[in-house]
Amino acid sequence: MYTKESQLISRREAIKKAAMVFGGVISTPAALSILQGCSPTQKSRSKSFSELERATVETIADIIIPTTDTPGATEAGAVQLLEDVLFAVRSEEEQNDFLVQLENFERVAKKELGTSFSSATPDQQVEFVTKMHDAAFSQELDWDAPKPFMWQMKEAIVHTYFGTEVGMTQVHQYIQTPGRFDPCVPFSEAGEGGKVWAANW
Amino acid sequence: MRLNIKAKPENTYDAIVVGSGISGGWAAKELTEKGLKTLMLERGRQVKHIEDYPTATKSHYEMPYRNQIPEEELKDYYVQNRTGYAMRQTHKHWWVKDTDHPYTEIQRFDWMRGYHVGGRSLMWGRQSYRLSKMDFEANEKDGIAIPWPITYDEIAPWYSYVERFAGINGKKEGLTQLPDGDFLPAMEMNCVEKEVKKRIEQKFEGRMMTIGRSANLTRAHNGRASCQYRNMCIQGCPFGAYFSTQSSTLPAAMATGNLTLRPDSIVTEVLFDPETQRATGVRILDTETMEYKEYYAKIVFLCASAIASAYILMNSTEHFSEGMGNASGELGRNIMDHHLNIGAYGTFEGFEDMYYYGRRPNGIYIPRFRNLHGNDMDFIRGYGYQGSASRTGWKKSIAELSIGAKIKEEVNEPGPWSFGIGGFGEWLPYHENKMTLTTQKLDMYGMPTVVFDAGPGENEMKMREDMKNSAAEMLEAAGLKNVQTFDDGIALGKGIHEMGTARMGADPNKSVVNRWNQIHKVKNVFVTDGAFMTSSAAQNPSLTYMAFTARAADHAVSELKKGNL
Repeated sequence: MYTKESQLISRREAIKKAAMVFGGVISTPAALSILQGCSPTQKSRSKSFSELERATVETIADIIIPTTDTPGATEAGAVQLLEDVLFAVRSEEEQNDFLVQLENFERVAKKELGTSFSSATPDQQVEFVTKMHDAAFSQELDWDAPKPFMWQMKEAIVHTYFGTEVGMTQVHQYIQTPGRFDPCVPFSEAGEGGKVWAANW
Repeated sequence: MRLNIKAKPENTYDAIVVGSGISGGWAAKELTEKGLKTLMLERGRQVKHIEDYPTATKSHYEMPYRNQIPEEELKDYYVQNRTGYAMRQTHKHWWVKDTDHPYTEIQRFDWMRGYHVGGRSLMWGRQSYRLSKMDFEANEKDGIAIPWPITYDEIAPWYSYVERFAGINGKKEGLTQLPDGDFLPAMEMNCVEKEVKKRIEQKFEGRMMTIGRSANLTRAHNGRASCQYRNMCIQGCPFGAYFSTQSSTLPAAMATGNLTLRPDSIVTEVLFDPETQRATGVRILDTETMEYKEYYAKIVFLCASAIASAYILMNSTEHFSEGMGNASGELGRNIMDHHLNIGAYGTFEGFEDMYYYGRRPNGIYIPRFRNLHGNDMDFIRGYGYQGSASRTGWKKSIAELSIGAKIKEEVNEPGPWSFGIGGFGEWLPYHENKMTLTTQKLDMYGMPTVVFDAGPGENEMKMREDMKNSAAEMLEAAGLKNVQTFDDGIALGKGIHEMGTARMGADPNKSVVNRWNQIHKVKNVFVTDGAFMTSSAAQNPSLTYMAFTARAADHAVSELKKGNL
């Protein structure tokens, strides 16, 4: 018997559980998908970003995770992965929600910058993304409503980045075949030392 | 009886084993090692050790969609996806496509299956615990269902026998309710697990925490390599370091030269000769040629899984209108599982500078502590907890992380330790919990399909309440912070420990098989998968299937030699 109670597990519980199962402190895009509310269905469109959408997402992604001594989000393939996951794995509703919010981001950018986001200068872009980011995270989160765009974008790109080889093996550390188990070692001496183990789940 | 006299000699073996999972692998190994020419039939495809594990050395970044499955594709796996973990790019190929293998749920039943050589021995959780004296006596003491016709002392040497071959790691604890085995060296607990153990044992008299006992080799054993701590078992182990049919029993059976393995062969029924009152063999559907064939043998071992073995017997209606072995009316009834997905988790403050190296494919175990000395709860029997502490992830939340170059440093500040436990509870055998067959819905081969009408009773629901509350209570007492409980709901099948459909008992009017796993009235048919279980206990059951299979094979060969079969 599948009890009603179990079906009514709240979204919040589902998020907490996801965090526990994955042992992480971030809520995953899987959890993100649970959080999405309904959004009006858009007319059918191609199952990929338009060039403009991709350019905007890449720019934002690289502002969130830039290239340093390790590749940034786009170079690591995180944006491509985000796009693949969005269009193949996520529901149409979730795709639409993301795209509608992306469109809205462009609109607000144009209003505030006096020019389209993509034709703004890099400094303007960083400044605008930072402003939108800070605004998104300063408001009280309504767990039952879709998250603000910059929240969604940051969460998705951070998570996706750590699903790429660069994220897992260069920024975090990963050894496919550890060969042994040392149950208690100082953080500074575990593997390369001073790095979080990549999540290979 | 449709005898194909011409085909008979070439289709005749000493023994037929139906199924190639944990039980089938053991039956094949034991029977072939005792000199029997044995035919092992597997309904699914061939899977060769290592070479047919396509993702064995793939890390998640090498898989499409960050290892997730597109929603469209998930529709074909609507039951298997209920596990929450089966549907990943790295191991989806081990699970059946539900659209190809439909069944009916009058009450929800999560039937998780793998149709291939090795069966679920490739995907199992590898936790390996003995049942105890208390478990074998429980039905009789509580007046539940029927008594087990066998004692712990009788099966104990067989537990040792299979443990020594399979390689089970664990720590001896001297517990009555969880007997020690012949263990390989135990795996170790991490800092937090050690500390939580200490605190729980200080605060709760009669409760303890031990390291999980699992079928992963902690040192080279019987020609197999030691665990490399990848924790990628479900993708197939290139080191053969966990027990599976492919890594362990199949090579042993093959080495005798007595085994013939025939994949793509669905056993549709057991053949019977009314004159001798013995089974004569089985009929199969070859799914490559879509032809029916008959194979003959002196003994038949049904190891197809609790549901499938009951199915085969129910479908053997040529001489038995209600199915072979069903004189008692108990065939397909008393379905049990373990109820789980309930417990608690929290964060641990401390050991902030400590970490670990390697991924241990095993967790901790809190053995049963309820109703050990008489029934003093509002439910009978008990449960154990499995869990672990870990520190994956990073400290800052998505909101707190910076944007820009600094984020790469911040994601390398490890997050807090978290510790969680989930209960595995005993499920009582209820006569009304049953499976039947229907011809109203046919599968892709035109075969009848299974109808499940089974669910939990009051005892399971009351026990769950205690499983949840005691988990939170122990974690609070152990000083964990932000303790939260979880309850994913109860559903038969989700433990993937389905059992009881051809239960063992002394009374032929109340059970399907006798104390040697022989069908009461058809003595040369042995049922040694989960179907024979008279009660479920709370322990993961595979080790028990191994022990009973080895014991039944020994008995079968000895009876054959005496001319009794």
